[in-house]
Amino acid sequence: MGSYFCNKSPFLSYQYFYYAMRVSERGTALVKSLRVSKQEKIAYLCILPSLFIVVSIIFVPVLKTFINAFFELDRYGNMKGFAGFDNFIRLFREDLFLRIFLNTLYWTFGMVALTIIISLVLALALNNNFFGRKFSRAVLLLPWAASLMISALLWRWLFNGDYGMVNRLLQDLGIIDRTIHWLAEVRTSFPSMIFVGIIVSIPFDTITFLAGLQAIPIELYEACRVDGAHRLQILFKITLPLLKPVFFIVTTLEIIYTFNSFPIIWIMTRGDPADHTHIMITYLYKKAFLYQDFGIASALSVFIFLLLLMFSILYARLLYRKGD
Amino acid sequence: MNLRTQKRVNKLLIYIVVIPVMLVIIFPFLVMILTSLKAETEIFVSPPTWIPKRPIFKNYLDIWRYVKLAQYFKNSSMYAIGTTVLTILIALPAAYATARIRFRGRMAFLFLILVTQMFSPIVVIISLYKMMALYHSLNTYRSIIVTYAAFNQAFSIWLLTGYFSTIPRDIEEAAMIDGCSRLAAIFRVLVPLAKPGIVATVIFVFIWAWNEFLIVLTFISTDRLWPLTLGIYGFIGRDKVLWHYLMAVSFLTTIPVVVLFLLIEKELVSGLTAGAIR
Repeated sequence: MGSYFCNKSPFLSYQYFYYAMRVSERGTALVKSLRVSKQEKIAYLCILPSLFIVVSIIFVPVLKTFINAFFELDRYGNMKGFAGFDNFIRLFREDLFLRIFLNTLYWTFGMVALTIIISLVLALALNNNFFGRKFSRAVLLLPWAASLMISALLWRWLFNGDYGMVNRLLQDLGIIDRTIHWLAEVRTSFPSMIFVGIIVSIPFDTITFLAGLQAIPIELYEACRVDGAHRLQILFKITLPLLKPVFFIVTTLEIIYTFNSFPIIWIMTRGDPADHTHIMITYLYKKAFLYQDFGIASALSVFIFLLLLMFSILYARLLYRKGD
Repeated sequence: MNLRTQKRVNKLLIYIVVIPVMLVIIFPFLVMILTSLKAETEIFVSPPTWIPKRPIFKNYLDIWRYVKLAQYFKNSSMYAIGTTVLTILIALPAAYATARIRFRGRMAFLFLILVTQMFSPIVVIISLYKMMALYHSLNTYRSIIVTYAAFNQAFSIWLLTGYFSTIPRDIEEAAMIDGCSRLAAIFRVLVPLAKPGIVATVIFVFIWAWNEFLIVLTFISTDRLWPLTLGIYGFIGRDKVLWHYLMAVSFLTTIPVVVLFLLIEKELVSGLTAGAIR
């Protein structure tokens, strides 16, 4: 036993020495890595103002909203007492909650799908040389340059039941024979606003798609044509697959943007008739600043936040899988 | 099908796609101009007329007295210029650091900034409103400018970092070896080279601030500080909406931005592509 121990001991001590060396090496490496280099000091100084403004204007209020959602709040938004999940329960029990939730899905996915399809086709068309191409591209900038607010106001006037030009145009074309009060009826007002949403979203999407299309090297098309590929084959085998990354980015941006879109509905109907054309964003605003029910509004904020978070995780996963 | 007929079919298809969309886009702007030239008596006629019977150009003079248009223009400019300056001032160094320096927490910082892109201002607007009230900042220029700058960080840093990383690092390093200080290398070498990216960022931020509606609607209640968006929005709060005036004001507000867009279309697109497509 003793000999065994003695035999082993030189080895052991060597082992210990070795480990000690490794540990101290790592230790110094760690200390070194904790030491902030001059480069890093400059970097931290550079990002500090940006970090400060983003944390104080965005992250702190998000946190406060989370806390508020679990408290009873008075008409001025001051805390009265802990409420647990009461605000959320009140929110989910609202008669209109399901309706507004469905409206939001309808608004977001309906609008994005239609916008993307139209923009893609339009970009494919504008990518050719034809008479009036420059003019079309200039026109495309109009709704983008005009604010959403102005577009919404213009269309509110156009959709006016008595004096609006949409009725006049459709009557002149013989499509309708009586005037329609577009924004006064639930059946027509929500689709009308989706229509406006599509019109104002087309420019950005189309121009981005167009930029993506122009990044595809012409030689690729020419090579295919020499090989005798049909136009549709080129479209589905070359153009669309190569456009995939752009497509992905545009769709994501558009979903976030549309989900968060406030001015169109607020200006055209403000959620009326009878709060039936709200999406969650406009309903939240009305609850908070018109009805002063800050409890429900905070709970809704948290709900919206969680939805967006879920979406971004899903998106990150998709992106990650794509990266593999 | 020979080549020529195929080309004709092609052209036809293009026009079938392009023309309807263009008509739908132009339609509201056409009506805007036509309505802005109508007399008040001609606005509320059913069915409405297409062309004003007698175009009244005086509407465009009257609106300056009907609403404080000059004041709104001034306020909009203040908000937009203030936001652009502040945003660039803090986004530029942050973008420089993330593009050029490997520092610990770099990914965390980028992630944090990008996450803010996901939130609409609406999620924070209630707490932010309370915070501004607490600091007596409601109805001030600063509340708007600071908030706008915060919400533009993600986009600006993203765009600028993208642009900086397309510029080879060697150029600055060469300048630094030649005895330039880091600061001089940045301002004499990097910034001039990155000018298109910076210009694109400036334009996007400016237009975003010029057109913003929700935040300003919440923070600004005195019409002395209203920007154009709220000035125009104020029209539909009145007892009787004078649509001909409203359209005239909309026309005047839209034209400068449209002209700007047409002038800078190339920068706009190249700016976008630098960030989004690489």
